[in-house]
Parts: sequence; structure tokens; C-alpha cells
Amino acid sequence: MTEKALKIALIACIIIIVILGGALGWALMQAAAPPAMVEYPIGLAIAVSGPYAVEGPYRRDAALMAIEEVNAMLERAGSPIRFKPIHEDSKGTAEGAKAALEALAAAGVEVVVGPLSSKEVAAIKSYVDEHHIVAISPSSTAISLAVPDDFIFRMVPTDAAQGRGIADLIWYFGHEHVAVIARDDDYGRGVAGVFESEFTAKGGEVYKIMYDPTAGAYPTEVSDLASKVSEWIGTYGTDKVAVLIVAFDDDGRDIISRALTYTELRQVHWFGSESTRRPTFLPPEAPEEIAQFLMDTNFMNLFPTVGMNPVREKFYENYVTKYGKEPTPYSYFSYDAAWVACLAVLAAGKYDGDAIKAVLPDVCERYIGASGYKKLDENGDVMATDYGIATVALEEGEYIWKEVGIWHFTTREITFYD
Amino acid sequence: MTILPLIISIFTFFGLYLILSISFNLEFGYAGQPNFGKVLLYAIGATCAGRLVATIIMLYLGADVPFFSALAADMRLRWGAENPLATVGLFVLALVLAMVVGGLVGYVLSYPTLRLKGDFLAIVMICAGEVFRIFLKTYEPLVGGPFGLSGVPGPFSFVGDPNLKEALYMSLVLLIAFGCYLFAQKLVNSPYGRLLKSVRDDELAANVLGKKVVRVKAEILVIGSAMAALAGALYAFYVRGVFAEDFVPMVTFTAVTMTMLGGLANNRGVLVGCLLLTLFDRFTRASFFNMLGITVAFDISYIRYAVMGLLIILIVMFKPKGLMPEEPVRTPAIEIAKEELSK
Repeated sequence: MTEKALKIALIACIIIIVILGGALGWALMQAAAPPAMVEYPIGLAIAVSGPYAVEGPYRRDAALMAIEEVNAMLERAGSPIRFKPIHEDSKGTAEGAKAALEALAAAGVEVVVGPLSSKEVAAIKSYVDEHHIVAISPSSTAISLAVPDDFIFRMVPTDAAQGRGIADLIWYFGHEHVAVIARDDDYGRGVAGVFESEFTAKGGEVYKIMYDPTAGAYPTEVSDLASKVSEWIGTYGTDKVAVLIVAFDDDGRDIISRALTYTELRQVHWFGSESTRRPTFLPPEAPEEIAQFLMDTNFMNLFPTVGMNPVREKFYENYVTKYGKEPTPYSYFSYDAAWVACLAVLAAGKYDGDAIKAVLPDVCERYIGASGYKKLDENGDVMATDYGIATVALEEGEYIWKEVGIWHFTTREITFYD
Repeated sequence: MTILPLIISIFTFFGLYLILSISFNLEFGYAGQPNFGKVLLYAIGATCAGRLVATIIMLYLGADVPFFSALAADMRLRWGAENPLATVGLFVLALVLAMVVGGLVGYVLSYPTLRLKGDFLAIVMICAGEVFRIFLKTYEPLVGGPFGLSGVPGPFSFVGDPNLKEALYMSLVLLIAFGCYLFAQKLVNSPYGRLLKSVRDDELAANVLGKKVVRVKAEILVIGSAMAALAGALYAFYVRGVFAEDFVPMVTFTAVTMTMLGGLANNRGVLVGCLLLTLFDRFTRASFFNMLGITVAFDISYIRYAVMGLLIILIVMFKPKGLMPEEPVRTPAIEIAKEELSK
């Protein structure tokens, strides 16, 4: 071999060694370097205007807090995955919900927390089904939306359970004539409708007053309510008569503040839908007279519950610390919906609507959150659970919602703690 | 991430509101009739179209499921996907029915215009819209009351790819909207357009000159109402349903704002106003900022509403005639007059 050939071979060897060394070094660096961050968007189609101007921000904040917690957990684990919330105001209307979903779809969202109301869910159903976007509603309760194998999942039992529970509770107290004053929307009609059929099946009598929730003031409806109650008291006595109110914040407070002025309405037992168990009905967010009226009339309402659990307590504490206000009951469901959404993405192992839909029931079956056990039925709705019975109590100078009993969904029995 | 759903959303919304705004411009901008009941006709169009299509399909299917349930809605959508010709036929029939009913209601609405003017007429029209919304919401057999009617298949239901389906529908809406625009341009740039303006500017003078003011008012309300009902029918196929709570006065005010921004009695201005406000609505969303890689630290929804309100105030204060003020009627006569004057 000539000297020249040796030089060439040497140079070739050096080049090969350099290339191999470089490749090995690069591979080692890749292995040692932290993996690239991956950010998955979580859509929040939560109305914060219109009918949800008061309640919506509470639920949005709860969902945001859940996503923050998931991200903190992932950071602790050294995971490269993070979730990014994108909030769109769905305005509480079909048009607003559709526009919100379109905007979120354009942003590449495959899983959405929301919308809140059943009519919004109905409006986006065909859109999410076709685009394979998973929508997890924290508060839609319409029975008509219970359809198997779609992309809609709901974190709260349907109206059927609540309506049945209220009917059992009122019947338990021996009231046979109930005047119902309810929102004339999907929620009010749903609850009032189920209640009416359940209560009349027991032999009770129901008088319904449906009001337009956008009206703002309800003097005529309350006057009508007082007339009916007065008539029934005259015929059957106060023990046989009750009032059921199915209302949200502003409308509910207006009705109760007007009811204060009617003696006959103060004489009978009042009940409320789950939507009345909100801090907005108690001081400092409501006048003391309203809270006192609720106490005077032994006001009771039902809310899906599993009693206090560590997750619920932690959520409550964190929420109050972070936002300086108490969470509303539906905030718990919103919080769980966001947690479930993130866990489903992690369980799926990829950001894909079909994969998320496939694993969501399994994730829910193994998830106990702030609002309880989230096992889903064949329609993708949370299976009905027991309902806690609450009333207003004055403890240490502060009005609070206090759970005093429970309605068992399976046996339809009522148990009071005292 | 795909930009297509955003484009579809923008241009479908733009097309629907262009039809609605042009109809308002014809009635108010050109003829001086403040029909603030636009949403009434919009709702009537949607109701006619949605209910007609849903009823025919359910009658054909003969299924024993609640009409307004999600299950029935799914069945209707599936039927629509499997029967393309029938669905297109139903779509055309629904549009025609909506326009006919809208036109008839517009004719009825022309009666208040004989006795009322200005603000009073506007208030009556707003009330009429609210009455119909409440009726829709309380009378369940029509469109399901507060729950709404869903599952109204559109003309492209047979297309498998959802994005393509929606893009095709957007194109159709834009085509119809452009047709309405051309029709309105043709109408106002004719002697009839001058007649409308004469009724708007001085009813008495128009009467004295032998023009049938009452008839002109009725005619323009029939035309405007039919167009608004057409927009409503297209909207029902867009959201694939009819929901009473969608027909709030805000729909009217959005169309009015678009018209005011663009310029009253100027259809080109209305086109610009519609486009600007639609872009403003869609480009000031958190999702859009996210697409640009920008994280907004606060809830932008509230800012958007506040800016929209501010915009209306600024238009009224500084640009009361809109971005493109009214132009003379472009008939052959005015062209000749211009030539003569330039000599």
C-alpha cells in the first residue's frame, strides 16, 4: 500500500469516526434532553352572558382551576404534556353555541367542556357528532338528549331524577296541592314537567305558573301564585299546600322578594329546584329578608350529592382561596367535567376526538370528583345518584345552605339526619 | 388546527346577515319604514322551513319516537344523508314557503305603517318580534317550545365530509346573498328606487304627485320581509334546527348596526358593514388569538361586547351616514343628466 493510499484510508477513517461520533453524540443528547412540550387545547364553551351572566363565570372559573391543577400535576411528574384552556362565550343560545364550537374547531379543539344548557347542547349535537369533537356538558339535564353512542357526555343526571325526588319530598311532608312557579325554558319545563307527572301520579294536584325568564320582573306571576295559594289554604288548610320554585339567580330573587309581601305565601312550605341552591340566594349576595323568608317557609331543595368527600372539600378551599368567592353547586360539575376531559386525553394517549370518546366512559367509571362518582350510563350521561336535601340555616350569624337529609334514588326513600 | 371551520363560520354568518341587512336597508334606508321587527320575519322563515322539513321526514319515516327528541333528530339527519334528491327538494320547497309566508306577514305588517311612524312604528315592530319569540317558546307543538327543534337536514346532507358539507352550504348561502344584493341594487337603481326615496323623504309630496304611497309601503315591506324570512330559513338549515331563544331583538339590532356602519340607503355600504362587523365578531375571539399563538390573559368576551357598544356610539357621533354615505340613484336618466351637465 502506498503512502498516499494510507493517507486516504486514514482520512476516511477519521471522517467515519467523526460522523459516527457526531451521530452517537446527537442520539445521546436527544435521549438526555427533556422531551419537547406538547400543548393540547381544552375548549370551554361556557356562556358568561345572557341567561348565564351571573352563574356562567363561576363555572368557567371552576373549569379553569381544574385545568391548572392538571397542569401542575403534569409538571410535577415531568410530563411534557400541558393543557391550554380556550374559553368561548356560548351566550346561552343555539346560535352562540354553534359559533363557539366553530371557533373552537378552527383552533383545533377535540374536546370541549360545555355548553351549559340543553338547548345549546341540542344545537351543537349534530356538529360535534360529525366533526368528532367530544362535548362534556356540566349541566345539561334534558331527558330528550339521552342518546347512545354520540359525542355528547353529561356530568349531571337528567331532570327525571330531580323531578321524581322533589315529588317524593313534597309528598313525604303530606302536601297534596302544589303551586309551581317555574322558568319557561328548557330547564324549567323539564323539571316542572317531570314533577307534575310524578306528583299527580301520587294523587296530588299541581298548578303551574310558567314565566318568561327574560322578563326581569314577575309581579303578575307572584300575584297569581298568591291567589292560588290563598284559595287552597281556604279550602284545604296550610298543611296541605306547598310552593315549588324552579328558578335561577336573578329571577328567583325577584320572585322571592315579591313573595315576601304576601302573608299567605309565608304560611306555606316552600321547595326549590337544584338551581336554587346557590350562594346568590343568601347574604351577602342577597338581602337578608330573602334568607329569612327561606327560613320562615322551611325552604328545601335537592341537589345531586355523595356528601362531603376530600376532593369536594379541597376544591371548595382552593376555589375560595383563588377567587375569593364560594363556588356555586354547578361549579363542582364544571370542575369535574374539565378534569375528566384532561384525564381522557391522557388515557387516550393522543389528541383525537374518537380516541377520547372511546376512553371517556372508562375514565368516568374510575373517577370520583368534587361532584361525586361519575360513572356514565349507556347514553353517556352520569348515572343518577342520591340527592342531598338542604335548607337554610343561620349558624354563627351567617346564613348557609345546610344538608339535612338525603333522597335515595334507587329506593326513593327519604332519610333526615336529625 | 384548520382554518376552514373559521372561514365557514365567518362567511355563512356574513351571508345570512347580508340578506337581513339588505332587507332592512330596503325598508328603512330607501323607503323610510323602520321595520325593527326583522327578527320576527327571520323567526318566521326559520320556523316554516324547519317545521316543514322535519314534519315531512317524520311522516315519511312513520317512526314512533317523540318528535322533538334527539333520537328523532338523529333519524331525520340520517334520512337526509340517505336521500339527497328528496332533501334538496325539501330545501327548495322550504325556502319558497318561508318567502311566501314572510311576504304575507310583511303585507300584514304594512297596516301599522299607515297609522304609525318613526319611533312608534319601530317599537310596535320590536314588540311583534318579541310576541312571536314568546309564542314559539310557550307553544311546544310548533318547534318544541324552549327545548327547540333539532335535526333539520340541509341540502348537502349526503356529503360525507363535514367540512366539505359546510363549505358547500356556505357557498350556497353566499350565492343567495349575492343574488339578493344584485336584486336590491337593481331595484333601487331604477325609477322604483326613486319612488321609494320620495316616500321616505316626503310622503305628502309623493301623494300629491299621484304616487300610491300606501301601496309602495306595502310592496317594500313584502319584499323586505320575504328576504328576511329567506335568511331565517337558511339559518335553520345552518344550525339544523329552530330554537326560540335565538330570535331575540339583538338579531335585529345586529342587522341595524351593520347597516348603520356601512351606510343607510347604500347597499354597497351595507355589504362592507356586514363584512366588517362579522370579521370583528369572529376575530376578537379567544380561539382566533390562540390560532395566532397569542394567549389572552383575560376573558375577551366582555371586551368584545364593550367595544361593539362603543363602536355604535362612535358611528352615531362621528359617522352618522356610515362609512359609505347614500349615493344618487343610478338610472339611465341620471347618466344623461350628468352628461348634459358636464357639457
